[in-house]
Amino acid sequence: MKKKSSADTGAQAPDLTRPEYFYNRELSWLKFNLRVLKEANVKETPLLERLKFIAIAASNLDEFFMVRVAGLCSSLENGSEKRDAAGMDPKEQLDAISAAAHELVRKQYHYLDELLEELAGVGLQFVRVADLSDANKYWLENFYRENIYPVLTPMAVDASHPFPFLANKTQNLGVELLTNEGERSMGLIQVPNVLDRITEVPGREGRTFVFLEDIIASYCADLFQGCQLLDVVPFRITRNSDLELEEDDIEDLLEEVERSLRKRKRGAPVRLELYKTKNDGIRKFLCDNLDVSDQEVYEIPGPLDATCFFKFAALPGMWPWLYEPFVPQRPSELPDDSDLFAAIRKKDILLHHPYESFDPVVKFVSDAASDPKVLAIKQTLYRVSGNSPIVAALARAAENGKQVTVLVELKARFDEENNIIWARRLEKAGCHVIYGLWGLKTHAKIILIVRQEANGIKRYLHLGTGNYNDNTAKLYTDLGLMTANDQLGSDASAFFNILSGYSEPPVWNKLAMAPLSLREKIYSLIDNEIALAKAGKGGHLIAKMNSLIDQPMIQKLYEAGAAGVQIELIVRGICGLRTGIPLLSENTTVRSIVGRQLEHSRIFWFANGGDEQLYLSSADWMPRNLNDRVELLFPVEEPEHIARVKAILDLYLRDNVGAYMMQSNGTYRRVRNKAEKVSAQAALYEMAQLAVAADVPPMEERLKPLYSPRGKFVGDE
Amino acid sequence: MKKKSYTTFAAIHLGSEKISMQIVEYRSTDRCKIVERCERSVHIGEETFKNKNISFATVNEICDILLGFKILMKECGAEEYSLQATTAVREALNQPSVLDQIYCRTGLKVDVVDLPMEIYTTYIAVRNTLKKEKISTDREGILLMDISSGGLGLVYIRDEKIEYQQDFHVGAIRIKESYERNKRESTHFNRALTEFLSSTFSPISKELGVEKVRYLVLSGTETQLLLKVLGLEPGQDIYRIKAETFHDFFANIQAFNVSQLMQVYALSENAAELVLPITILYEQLLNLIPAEEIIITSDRFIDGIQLLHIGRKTDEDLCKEWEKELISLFHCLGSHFHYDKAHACQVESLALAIFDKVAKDYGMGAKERLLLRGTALLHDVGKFVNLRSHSRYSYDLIISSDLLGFSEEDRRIIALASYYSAHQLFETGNKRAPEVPKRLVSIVGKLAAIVRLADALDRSYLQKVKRCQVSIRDKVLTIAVDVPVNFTLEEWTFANKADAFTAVYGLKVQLERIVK
Repeated sequence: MKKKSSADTGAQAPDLTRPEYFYNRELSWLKFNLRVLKEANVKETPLLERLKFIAIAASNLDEFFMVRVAGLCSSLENGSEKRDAAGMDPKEQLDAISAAAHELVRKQYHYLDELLEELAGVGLQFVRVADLSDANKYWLENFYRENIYPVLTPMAVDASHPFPFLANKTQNLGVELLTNEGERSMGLIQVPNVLDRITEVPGREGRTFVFLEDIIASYCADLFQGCQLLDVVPFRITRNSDLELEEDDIEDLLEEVERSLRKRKRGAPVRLELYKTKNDGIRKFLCDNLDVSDQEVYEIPGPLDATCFFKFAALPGMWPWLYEPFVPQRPSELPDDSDLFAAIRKKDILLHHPYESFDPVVKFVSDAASDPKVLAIKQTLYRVSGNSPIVAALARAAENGKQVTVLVELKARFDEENNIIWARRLEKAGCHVIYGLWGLKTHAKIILIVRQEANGIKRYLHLGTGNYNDNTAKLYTDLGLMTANDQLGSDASAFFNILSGYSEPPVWNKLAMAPLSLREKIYSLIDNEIALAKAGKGGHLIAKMNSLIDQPMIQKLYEAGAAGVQIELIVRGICGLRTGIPLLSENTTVRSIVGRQLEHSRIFWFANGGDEQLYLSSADWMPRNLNDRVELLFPVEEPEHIARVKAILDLYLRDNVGAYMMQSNGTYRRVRNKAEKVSAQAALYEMAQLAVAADVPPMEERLKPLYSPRGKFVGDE
Repeated sequence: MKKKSYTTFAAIHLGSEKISMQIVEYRSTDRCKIVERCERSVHIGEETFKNKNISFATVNEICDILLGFKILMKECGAEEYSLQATTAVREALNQPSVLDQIYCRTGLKVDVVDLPMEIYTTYIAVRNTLKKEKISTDREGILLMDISSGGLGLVYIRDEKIEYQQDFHVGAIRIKESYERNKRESTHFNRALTEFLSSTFSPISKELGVEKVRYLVLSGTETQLLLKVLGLEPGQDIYRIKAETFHDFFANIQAFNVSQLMQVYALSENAAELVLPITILYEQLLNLIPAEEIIITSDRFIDGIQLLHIGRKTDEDLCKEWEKELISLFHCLGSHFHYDKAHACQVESLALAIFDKVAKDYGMGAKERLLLRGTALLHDVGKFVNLRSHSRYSYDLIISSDLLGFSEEDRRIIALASYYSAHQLFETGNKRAPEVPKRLVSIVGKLAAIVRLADALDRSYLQKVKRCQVSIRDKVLTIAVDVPVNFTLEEWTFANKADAFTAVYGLKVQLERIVK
């Protein structure tokens, strides 16, 4: 198809600020969450994996309300009428979000109903307490008395007992009572989150499960002595959970984050999930006391808080309905990692997680901790796993006398507490710990190791697109580069000197750093494609990221599109760019890949007239990444690596199993075509497995005995 | 762990605007690799030039940065370091407290270098770059101009010799801080500054007016700023610009005020405030000493620290080259005061013959040898002022001159040794005798005694001694001279001066004539 450009038509430069050229961020996100939810409806996927997608979508939605919706509510409360790029003010956004979220919830529970039926078909039944046999009820009641009753605290709400504070994301039961005096009153019972949400009832054929709130609702009558229980309705409250850090006046960021964490649990309610009920009295009681509007009430025709299914799917014996275990493979570029430094010196190593194991990255730090030649280790930590082996290695390195500098980002949302614990531990071990930067979140993923070698110090680097979290490294797709390139090493040293406050930004060799120069670097790469397109040499770029919502960046892409550059975007989540706009984005495609792995890598490929350029980055194209975070963009220069990553991108572009394509009206449609079925994720996993198999010597060779060189058996005198 | 085959050295500059560090791994001057570079802005110069003191808050800031640098030094395995402070610390009245606090908090010792040494250090790096670029001084001269925040050094070189050298207390930050903001923003500021600089620099044109200068070489802290406003990309070692290009640039830029400069050149306010003083400075000098081409090097003071350190440790030939240039500076100064070159060289040659025999046993080395040469060459320059009491004028002239590559103390030693080569060291009742600090008595005495003897051997100023051999035996220093003509005057003078030598060295001295 001939690429059209505005130069062809001689049209005047369009106004790229027009609201109709942009999608609203929140609504785009809800579309992404819908794509996640739709994975629950893929019949080929194992049952419990589908159930987990419902849980994922529910968890995503929780965070969405706690942060994004809460932010809009605050803006509305403050009287803001500021419009976003799509021309919507806070009220319009909240209205639209409500409509879309309600529809999403409706679909969620439709899929859940179907799934629960299918689960029952394989012998995994969720039943109401009322439907249990007498024997089961007897067992259950005893269970209730011994395990649940002792931790329940009923709360009456009346003139002398005000409505209590209900913490964020807690599930509660609204209770309507009739007093002995014949008056109606209300009470509350918190569903304790220390207890398992789902209880297995023994004895029946197959496996039978009941929900905790149902158990409590069935047996809680005696909690309210002297009253008659009229109705019990489960509900769940979601509160504003964005931390408010007053960075202007703080001297101790650590203390301020701890203070704010305590405040998080008490933000204003932004959503009330209410089990579907005809009891308007309880509904009104809750809405009035929690100060939520109708728009903020979600009627749930099923079990509240679907995130409970994560734990459910992990119960013993569930393996028949789960994926085969995913085993990250030994990296094809590291057949022997016994001497990592030697391997990296020989050539750069590219790792593709989770298909390839994260172990070499952990080993990189671990080996450095024990290597007497290592002088210093520096690393950024954004989200770490609990009991992280990397953190343990850093502590050990400091104890072994290395100079260890760690930037622990305290402001990693919802990981703040976790990170505070690790920061203190590292400091105690003797590391120089930097608790983030005053006005920026450090999101770059980088490890620098300085080693004293025969010819001088040598710097070894790991640069990545994903966090140093060995747990998420098994779930998220990410790329990492291990290199001993001197110029990158010098840049990395300068980067840490900036973060440590020792130095000002240098003239960079190869790295680009946000918020200083990363945006401009990307602009220059796109401008290069524009120039090539205008010169008739064809411009082409492929960009993979998690979110694209930065308005100037989208405008730059429109400018490129207008010049005739072919643009292929792989954006997992939020995308504010519209495809199909005449003369602006007719040459632009947007696809989203959703599947077993969470797409997380940030890859930027530029044709550059045949001399391909490839960059990886920690940054998505969002204002927060480009303006308010410390991020890195780094080149991948080995031709074999460029070819390898280009092949990965081509797979994503051919994917017709997990891929959705953005339509010109902003909806997403699954890519279904007559071509052979290609699942990028499955193909990449298979490739990783085959690469390992190819390295294994044939059985004949492996069966060869080892003799001592003198012809005697090993061990003979 | 295997011993390193290289040494790691950290050069740290505590400057007026920045604290910089450069860590280098070296085996020799040709085999060096910079492994770490960092710099942080600290506005010490503004405080010193305005308030004469460095504030407590700034000292804290300096210590924090230096502590960070210390960590980086450990990370790179640095075994040696040199931390040198220049103008802002040098001129601070509370300098001793500042240095003490730095040492107590960081454990780092600061060497405060004076202006001639500061300029010399950068000069060394610039000369090295020019040599690498094969920019020769054979036919036409090079005028090197180094502008730091508080000072300006001019060195004119021709035929690998320093022909002229002068330092000025005119620097970029100093100019800026000498005039309050409302004066700087006045429409008459450019003119006033131009006239001030013109009058300050006019002596140069008298000295160098007849010289043909091919290249004007610019270096210093503000050259990076100049590169930016000239639209040149940083990162190269050397830039070459035609003089007309600079004149055109100056004609455009002088019309801008600070806000306009900030906008047009994307500068911070601080940087924009420096642009005009710097460009006026350069323009003035170009007008006084027209050059064909301007060369801007990226060499900084810290590069000089590095080169001097490594050179002194590993490269004897280079050290000899440096010394040769410094000697040419003595001749340059001597010639400025119309010295008797033949006599000065003769005294130098004879003094060195004596020095080389006694130095090792009397705790003197290469540094003292150089100071001796300076004393020998300059001991009579006072005759330029007046033939009576010329030794006092020699002292005054030497102590007032800028001696590139020599610290204030070095200059003082040469000046004192020159004076006392003609006078008794502890002569009482002479009110004109310059005071000798206790710590310098020994070295001044030793050098003066040698020059006194050497001077005696050329009392007639006829360079009668053709050959000289010095030996020591049984506590007697024997100077055997080959003199084909009557030597009576010298013999009598020698006899009078010998006691002073004996008093210092504890050696009897005798003069012998070599019989053929």
